[in-house]
Order: sequence, then structure tokens, then C-alpha cells
Amino acid sequence: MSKLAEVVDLVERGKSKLVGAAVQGALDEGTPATEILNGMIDAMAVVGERFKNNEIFVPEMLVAARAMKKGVEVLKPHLASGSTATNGKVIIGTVAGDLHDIGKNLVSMMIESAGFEVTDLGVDVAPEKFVEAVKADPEVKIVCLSALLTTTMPAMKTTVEALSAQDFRGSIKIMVGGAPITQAFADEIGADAYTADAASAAQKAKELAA
Amino acid sequence: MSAYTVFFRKENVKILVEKGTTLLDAEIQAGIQPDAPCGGQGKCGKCLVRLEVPGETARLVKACCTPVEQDLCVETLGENRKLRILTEGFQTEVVFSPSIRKELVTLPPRKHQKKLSEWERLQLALAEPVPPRQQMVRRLSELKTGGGCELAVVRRRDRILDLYLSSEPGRRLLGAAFDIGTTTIAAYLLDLETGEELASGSAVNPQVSFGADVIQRSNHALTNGEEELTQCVRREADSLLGQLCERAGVSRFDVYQISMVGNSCMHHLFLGFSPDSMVHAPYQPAVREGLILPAGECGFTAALSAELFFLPLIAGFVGADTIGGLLATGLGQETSLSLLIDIGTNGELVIGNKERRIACSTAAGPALEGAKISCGMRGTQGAVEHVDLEDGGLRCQVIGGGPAQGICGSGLIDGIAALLKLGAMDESGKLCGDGKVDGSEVYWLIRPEQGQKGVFLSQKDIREVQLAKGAIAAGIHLLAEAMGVSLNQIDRVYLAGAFGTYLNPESACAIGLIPRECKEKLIPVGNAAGEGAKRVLLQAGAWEDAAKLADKTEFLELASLPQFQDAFVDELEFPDEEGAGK
Repeated sequence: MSKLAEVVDLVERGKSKLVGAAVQGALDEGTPATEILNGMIDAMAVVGERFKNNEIFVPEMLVAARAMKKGVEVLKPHLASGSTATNGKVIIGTVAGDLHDIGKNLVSMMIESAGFEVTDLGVDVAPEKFVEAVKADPEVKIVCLSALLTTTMPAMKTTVEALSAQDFRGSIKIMVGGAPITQAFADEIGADAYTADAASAAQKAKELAA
Repeated sequence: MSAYTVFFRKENVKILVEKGTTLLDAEIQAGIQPDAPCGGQGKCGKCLVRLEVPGETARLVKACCTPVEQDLCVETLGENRKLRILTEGFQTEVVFSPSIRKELVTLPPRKHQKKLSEWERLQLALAEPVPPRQQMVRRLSELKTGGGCELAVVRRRDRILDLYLSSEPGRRLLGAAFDIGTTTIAAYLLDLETGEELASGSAVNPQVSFGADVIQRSNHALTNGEEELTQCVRREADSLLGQLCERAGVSRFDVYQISMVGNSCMHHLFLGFSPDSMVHAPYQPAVREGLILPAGECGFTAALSAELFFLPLIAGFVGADTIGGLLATGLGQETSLSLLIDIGTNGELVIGNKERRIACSTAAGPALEGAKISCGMRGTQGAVEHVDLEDGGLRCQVIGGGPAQGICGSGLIDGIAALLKLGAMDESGKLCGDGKVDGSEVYWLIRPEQGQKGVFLSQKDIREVQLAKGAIAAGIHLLAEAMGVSLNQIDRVYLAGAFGTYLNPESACAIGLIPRECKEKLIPVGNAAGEGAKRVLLQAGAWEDAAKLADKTEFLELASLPQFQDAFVDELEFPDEEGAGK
């Protein structure tokens, strides 16, 4: 197996302890950094697809995502800056009152893998902070909101309302997600898209940005 | 608005409901206490009932998604609810010194020259001043006490709770302890003159009809107000008190003190506080301090002046039940280092000793209680509670010994440990099944035969357990880190709750739910929360101890720790077979 194929395989299987060395090995063999990165991105896409098809579940997504992260850490110094983001800029965050970020982090990683430059505002993000972040960067195309608790779903609604009251509303798309969120809820609060999992979110982001 | 009759055949109850009411609400109104873990969102399918419409074939429907549009006959599918719930707790030494006491005093005769009020005569007899309370002054004058008359005075410190002639026959001095769990209410009736436990019992928390977990319940409270949830749990607690008194052959009007523990959400909903501040970051309770309230105002029929003592909370997700656990295990009194693990829907963990304690809550989810598991069920009749490897095959032990209906938490942990040992699952949790159910790979623990449905574990079930155990194990590691100790330094690991009692330590360590380092140190402590509530009745200082414990136990918010996600993902994997860890 070539070193590159090994990297892809290790990411798919979530072997974060081994992936760093394999990336280094691939670099040593002379594989271009962007090619290794694309290999890992494809691996994550495969993982995301399997998740979407219920072949694998959250734990495997999480270990694969971490393996990817470890690989990227080794790769980063070798990547020319800005070489990855081609699809545009995305802002992501967990809404006010909610401190949960594992799902949001997964989505963030998948969207980044899909060729976006992602700004992660973190957790418990007030509506105004989302608004400010979009104002600060007119190139932002998509805002992603996450909520894990049914009790913080109203905060998601407030955030969409705050974003919709701005002049920039026409130039951005709002995506929502999280365990309790449904398409019906997304429609009700006026979000542009809802996806059930991280892989679909990345796919949807590409469609919306196109 | 038109109304229709719904007849519940098994329960023999007929009720009239408004058109459009869901069958689930109809069940609740009829007092049936249906199980609705998802809170009626139509997701979990656990509320199935058989619907019989005249002229049509009977069909199974989700009660929560089925509005009543005509007169109906419904057959509920639930087993007769017989939960196996712990009312036994771990006993550490208890010095019996209740704060409620009965004193026999002889009132001095009324003398013209001394001009004493009736209350002053009582104070003279007690040889100390006690503040007059309206009810008790009235009681004193009703008793028409002449000189030389012997009076029984029930008191807590300087508060007079009851007065009666000592000649009155059959009077007792009783207390009751309650543990209000998300799923179960456990209660204990104690004789406060001897310390003897007269009766104990449990009931399903009727709030299960409004969702399985605290978030669902909170959500219901935020949308519809907490009144309904408060009323139903109070009613059930009072009814449980009545049952215990009846069984012990005593009068509930002799119950003077009721102590209570519960997680923070149950605390708020019992006392009628909105859980709003708890379910939004930074997840803080409405009040943390312990509360002493008139029991009668909290739905209890007991002695006129009976008081309810609700123990204090540590944080929004670490409640009075954890304080109860600390009281019962003595974790806050020892110099040696201990870890308390209470696994329920949330896993509460406390590490420490008398010098310093840190608590945290982990979102273990309900998987370890059998929810979200294909064949999952609570620890009742028919649940597989243990799985052993025998001659290369699996041997399942079923509660009650009859045919297996499903699997509960302890069986689940055993089952997964067995699959790991058999090699039917690797350390990443990938299952190599021996059958298929609905197209998904499964491993049969008990194969279906002769009309019995069998019990299996699916890949998804294993993943659910990984998430739960990963959260708890990560919590343990991060608590030790925050405390600045290694797991080897922990002297004792107290496992609280029913799950902890039935859990096989070997299996728990084999799947990495509990670190290997702790295996020899596990001490199941049963319902430590309830035991802690009893302490408040039995030991006068326990209430003050509880206040100190609540005040001086630090809280670690795992969700805001940057290292949490890494620790969690680390703990998702199962340890390799040698048990060397990762």
C-alpha cells in the first residue's frame, strides 16, 4: 500500500495515533501536501457518506474526524496558506444557552473538508455575535447554527430572526442542525436549510454556495 | 367542542376527552402513567397501544401521534409495572440522634399569684423558652391542661411540632425519606424513637408520561408551565407515604419530618420552580440552599406541623441526590481519596475527601438504563440482567426467571463485555454479528424460538453504549486531573444506584466504563441518595453537614473544558483484551 493510501485508510478507520507518522511518510515519499490533504478529505467524505447511510454511527465519525485533525496538524506547515478554501467562507456556532459542541465541531470539520474557510464562534454564542461576525466579513456565504437541547431551540429561532433583520440577509444562507432540530422547525423559523448529519451539511453547503 | 369516550380495556377505565386529544394525553388523564421516553414526539415508539375501532381490524398505533376522533377502545401493551428498584442502601455507621424528639413534661399548676400564660406554663415545664406558634398555642388551649397533667411535646430544636396528652394511646414519632428520581420515586418510613425502618417502597415517577429525561421534562415545563409536573409527582409521593404507613400499620398523622433528595430538575419540579435557568448555559439552579418547608404545602398529608427538608444542590446538573450520596458514603468525612459514581440518565461523579471535593455531571444518556437500545428495557421482570460466557457460548440470566423480554443496563454491559471477549466485536466497537434484524447486523444473545422474540445487540446499540461509557470514563479521567491525582491514588470507588448494584465490576472494567485501576476498589452502595435522605432523619447534624458539603464541593463543567472532546473520543474505544488499556 502506498503511503498516501495508508493515510486514507487510517483516517477512514480513525487511527489517530498512526495517522501523523503516515502523513510524514507520504511527505517523505514526495507526495504533494495538497494531494495528501485531498486524500484525507475524500476519506472523510466516505466516512460521512457511511454515516448518512446508517452504516456507521457517531463514535466512528468522531474518531475519524480526530484522525483527520491529527493528519492535518502534521500537514499544515507544508500547505500553502489559503490553498484549501475555494468554495467561500462559513461562520458556525452553537446558539446561546447551549454549551454543546461535539456535533458542531464535526460539521465544522466536514464543511472545511468540503473546501470552505470556516470561522468557528464556539458555544453559547449570542445572536448579536453572529450578526457582528457576518458584518465583519462581507465574504461570508453561509451561517451554520447548532443546538443540542430542545430547550435552546428558541435561541436558534431568535438568532435566525436577528440575522434576518439585517441588510445582509439576502447575501447569506442560514443552515441549522442538531439532535432536536427537524426540517419543519427549520422552515418555521425561516432557516434556509436543515440537514440531519455532518456529511449532508457539507453537501448542502456546497449547493448553497454554488 | 365535541368529546369522545376512550375505554382502556386492561385498566377498565373509561374517560371522556376532547376531540383531538392524543391517546397519550388520554392515558395520562386516565391515570395510567404510560411510558413516553421521547416526550410524545413520535420518535421512540415505546407508547404503542392496540386500537380497536368498531368495524375495523385492531391495529397498533403510537399513542402520542394518534388523536381521538371518535369513541375508542384501547388496549395498552405495557407490562404490569413491576420495577426492580433499590430501596436497600449501603449502611455506614449511623449514630441515632434524630432532630425530632418527643419529650414528656408535666405542666405546673395554674397559680393566681404567678400570672403565667398557658404558653409560659409550657416553657416552664420544658425549662427553656420556645417561641409560640399559633397552631400550637391553639392546640395547648384545646388540651385543657390542668396542673399535674403529663404532656407529650414533639419538637425539633426550639420549634414545637405537636402537643398531646401522653395518655393518648398509639401515638408514634415517624419520619419519611424520599428519593425523587427521574424514573423512580423511592421512599422509606422510619420510626424516629428507635431508628427502625418500618417500611420502604417505590413507585414510577408519573412524570415519565411527559418525557424520559430531565431535558424533556424541563422542556414540557417551559412550554406548558411546571404546575402539571409538580402536581403529579407530589400526588405520587403522598400516595406512596400513605401506602408505607398502611403497610406498617401506623398513622400518617404521626409523620413529623420528611426528608427528600432528587436531581436538580426533580428538585425544581417538585418544589414548583421553573427549570429555565438550569437548561440554558451556564446551567444554574434557581436556588442551591437546602429548604425547610411545611410538608402540607408540598402536597403531603401528615402531621399538622410536619416539615419537608429538601437537601441542597451542588449545581444545575449535580443535585440533592448527589449530596445524599456524599452523606451516605461519608466521602466528605474521610481523609482517604474516594470517587462516587452515580449512573442514571446523567452520570454524576464526585472525587475527593474531607479536604476538597470536585463534582461533575456527564451526559451519559439513557442507554445504560436500556433506552435507545433495540431490545432495551428497564430492570423489570423479563429483562436479561447478566450475561456470562460458558463453554464458548452465552448464558443469560433473566429477572424473574421467565422468558426474556429484553435487556437492562447491567445485562447490556455484560453482553458487550462478552462480545468483546468472544471476538465478535473489536476494540473499535465494530460488530461481527451472527444474524440480521431489519437488514442490520446483530448478535443474538437469546435466539428467537417458540413464539419468543429473542434478545439481540445491534451495531447501533453498541455505539450508543460507547457514547455513554465514553462520557462517564472521560468524566472520571478529567475529575482526577482537576483534583491533581492519578487513578491509582483513589482508595474507594462507590457505585451508587440500582445500576451500580447489579453491575458486574469485571464487565464494567472490561468495556472501559470504569478504569481498570479502580476494579479492586469498587463498592456498590445501592440507593446512596435515599440513604442520605434517611441520615437527615436519623442524625441531627446531617442537615448541617449537607449544607457544608453543598457549599464546599466544587463543580467542574465538562462541556466547557477544551480537553473534554479529546478525552471523550479517547474513551469511545473499548480496551484491548489484555486489559492493558490503550
